[in-house]
Amino acid sequence: MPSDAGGWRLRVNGRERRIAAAAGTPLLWVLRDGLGLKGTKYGCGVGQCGACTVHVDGRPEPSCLYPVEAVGDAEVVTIEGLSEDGRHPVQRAWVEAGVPQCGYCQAGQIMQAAALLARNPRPSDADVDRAMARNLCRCGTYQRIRAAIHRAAGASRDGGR
Amino acid sequence: MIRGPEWTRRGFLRVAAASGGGLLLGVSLPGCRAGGPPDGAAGPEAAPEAAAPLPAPEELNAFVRIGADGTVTIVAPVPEIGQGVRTALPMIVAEELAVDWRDVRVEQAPADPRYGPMSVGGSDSVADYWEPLRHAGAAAREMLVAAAAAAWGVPAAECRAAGGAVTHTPTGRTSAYGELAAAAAAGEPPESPALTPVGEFDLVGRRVGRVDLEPIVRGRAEYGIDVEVPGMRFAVVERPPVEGAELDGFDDAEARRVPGVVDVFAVEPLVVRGLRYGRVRGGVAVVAESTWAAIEGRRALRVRWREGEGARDGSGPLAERMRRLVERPPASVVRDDGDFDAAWRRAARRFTADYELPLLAHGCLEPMVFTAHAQPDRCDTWGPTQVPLTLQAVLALALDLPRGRVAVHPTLEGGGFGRRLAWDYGMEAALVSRRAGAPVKVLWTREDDFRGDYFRAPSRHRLRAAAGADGRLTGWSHHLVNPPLNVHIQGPEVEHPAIYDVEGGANLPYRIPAVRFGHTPVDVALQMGSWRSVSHSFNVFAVNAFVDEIAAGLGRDPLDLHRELIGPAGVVRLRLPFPGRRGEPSWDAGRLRRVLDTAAHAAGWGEPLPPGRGRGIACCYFKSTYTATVAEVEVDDGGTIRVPRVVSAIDCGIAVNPDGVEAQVEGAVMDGVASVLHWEITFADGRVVEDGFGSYPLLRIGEAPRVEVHVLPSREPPSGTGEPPYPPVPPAIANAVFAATGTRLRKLPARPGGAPSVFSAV
Repeated sequence: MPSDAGGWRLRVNGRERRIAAAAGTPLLWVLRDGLGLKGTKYGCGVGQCGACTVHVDGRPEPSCLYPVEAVGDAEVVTIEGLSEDGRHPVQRAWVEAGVPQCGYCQAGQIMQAAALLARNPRPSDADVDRAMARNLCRCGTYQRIRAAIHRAAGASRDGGR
Repeated sequence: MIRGPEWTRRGFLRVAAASGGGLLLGVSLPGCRAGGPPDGAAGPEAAPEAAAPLPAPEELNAFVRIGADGTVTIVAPVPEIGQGVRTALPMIVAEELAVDWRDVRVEQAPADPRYGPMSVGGSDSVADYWEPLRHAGAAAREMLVAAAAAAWGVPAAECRAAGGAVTHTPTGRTSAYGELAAAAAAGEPPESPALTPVGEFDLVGRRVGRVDLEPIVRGRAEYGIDVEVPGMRFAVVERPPVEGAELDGFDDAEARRVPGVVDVFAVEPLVVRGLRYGRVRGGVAVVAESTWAAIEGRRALRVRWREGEGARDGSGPLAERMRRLVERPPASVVRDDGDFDAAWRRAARRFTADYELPLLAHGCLEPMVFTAHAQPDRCDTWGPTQVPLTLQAVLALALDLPRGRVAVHPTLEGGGFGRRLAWDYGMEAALVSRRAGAPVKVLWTREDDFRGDYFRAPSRHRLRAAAGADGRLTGWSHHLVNPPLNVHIQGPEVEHPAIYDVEGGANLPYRIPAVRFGHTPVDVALQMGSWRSVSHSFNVFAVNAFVDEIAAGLGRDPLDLHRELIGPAGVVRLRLPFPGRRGEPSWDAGRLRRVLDTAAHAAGWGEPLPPGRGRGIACCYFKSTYTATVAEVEVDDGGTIRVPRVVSAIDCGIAVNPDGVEAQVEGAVMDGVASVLHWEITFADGRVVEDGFGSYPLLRIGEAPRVEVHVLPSREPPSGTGEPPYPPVPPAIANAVFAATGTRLRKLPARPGGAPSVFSAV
């Protein structure tokens, strides 16, 4: 929301942050250039790749399409705020399954997967494919993404690996 | 392929005390020093230890550092583009050094010739560094053992190193490496340290998670786009819309009114020594206080161009040129073994088919980006590059600085796939910074990245084969028409224009009495570049699709025909009219047969499938790596192709990190599926049409097949894995489509949802 001191007051990763930015600036660039939260990545700028996925009040959103003024008093969570210490089950599963290759898309993938598991703790392969269809991986780590999501869900089956 | 001189694998070792009494050890690579800093300085960018009073830096190609506190630092000499080398290469050192992998810290090398070629291209990293890094690790270990033996007054032969400590076996006395490092550093490096025998490795061959996993999953890994330098500006550049277009003026009044925009200026085009990989296209840069301000400022810019000839070219005219050229005799014949014409005349059966493959983009998820701080007397740069050393040399030329005054710091890279072998975007950042008088990060938007790509060349292939009355092949002819890569790297005057275009075709792994391979160049008003597996990406398709067609025509099982053509075990050596390795290709029939049979067996080749499903098979070799793929497809009544399952086998010699090898194969399979189903760059009026993931779709998770990877056990030296698994995937899928539908896929891509008519009969 607009801040009294000019610019914007945002709730990001549990903290209140003040930031100057022109109206219309996508949340992506506010996070990256303004707040130094560079785990959220630019991939396309038009909501086609999902590399910039963050949580806005728990919903996974492409931050490249989210103007700063639309955030209001919603709680924004980025990859840096997903867990204090990297112990979120999705982060652990990503490490254990060895998902990343170049790794550039993975923050977005992890945020998408965490949001999926928050609303559907035991997703089927079809659920995974539907939810994760918004996130592209150029390296082709999809098989391991499926495996990691099922691992994080605590399911015994392993998505085909 | 763009790299320094061929380097020798026999290095000699040098050691010196580092500041703090640590051990600093490297393998000197004499073959590389020719490209060293002309002023003899390593440059201020060199690792901190270089600041200590040491022998001349060219004698110190340091890979191992052991602190007095026991910290083991291993330098990763080549950049990580997602292929896992920041893990695999340090593993090789750690194996010989006898340290616990968990105690190792990996550090990225800045551009410096003492680290060897440093290039990520041709899938060469592990193959090229295998021996030097084993030597580096083993030599350090022996020096630590010698230091312990001297301190204890016992023979070195009675001591052994393990787990980061030396133990005197008879007494059990032990010292940690950290305690021995200073004394070891003062010792003489052994000429030929004893290497761990193949078969006795402890770490090499183990599945190891890559070293960057934790920072990546926590959003803390630093890619090129994340670089931050004090006082840094952000810039985007409006580049020529058409190849060869020249800037005719611009109006920046509106752009300068955008809050945060600090400067707008023309970027002059620049080509270093005529090399098109070293080409800044020119344009108009918008420099701002934030990325978004730069993007908004550019949106408000009005730019005029003189477009020239390039604006008259497009995909239609190009396809027509290629169609006409393939009918004519080839411009050059690079292989002509036996008498193809006689075989063709005498043939009982003749086969002919044309194959057409499209232009492809790289689509690295991290677009081109580089940060530079150019000052009058030096230039510092940070970003994703596959060739830090070459970029350093090119920057020095572009800025007229001694090489030692140019620093290149490779970051993690959001993919490479060959695009980051070119130096254009790094050079451009340096020029923009110099003009702006500040450190600048130049970001290419997604659209810029597509439009300004160094594309995978389009190709048209005419294949002909002759068979005798007994059904055996007697002649094979392959005519390739494409824009030659070397011309697009070095310019039109090169001595061997087709040298990078024939591999995978001219050296095909089949024993046929008469083999001819011809090439004809075609012009195209776009920039071509290196793309995962380069010419194998198209030639291997044509070869394997054609073998499948011949098998069908002869009523043979394709697997049997592949086996027959490969022939009995043994190494086959060929001669081609090219210098170096490319003039002497060779292949091992036994190794190729083994991957082919492994993939076929694992996939259940020959077992029945339900209607609408089919299996296809393909294989190839890429340098010393052998790969084979069986794809299973399902085609519905509407002609939509699905690829539910792919089985790939790879023989890459010793698999240093099998987990990393599997990851490369899995990724190559996804590339293969995407290139059959989706990928095509077209252009009209000189302009690239597909400029985003909407029109050039990457594979999505729901389209991803189940991939089964078989890494064959081997005692051969390791060879590449980044590119070799890709080439057999598209033809295996195309052949599976034929098995499922009876329709040949001779032109890629076959877009999903299309009717079977999309399978054009060329």
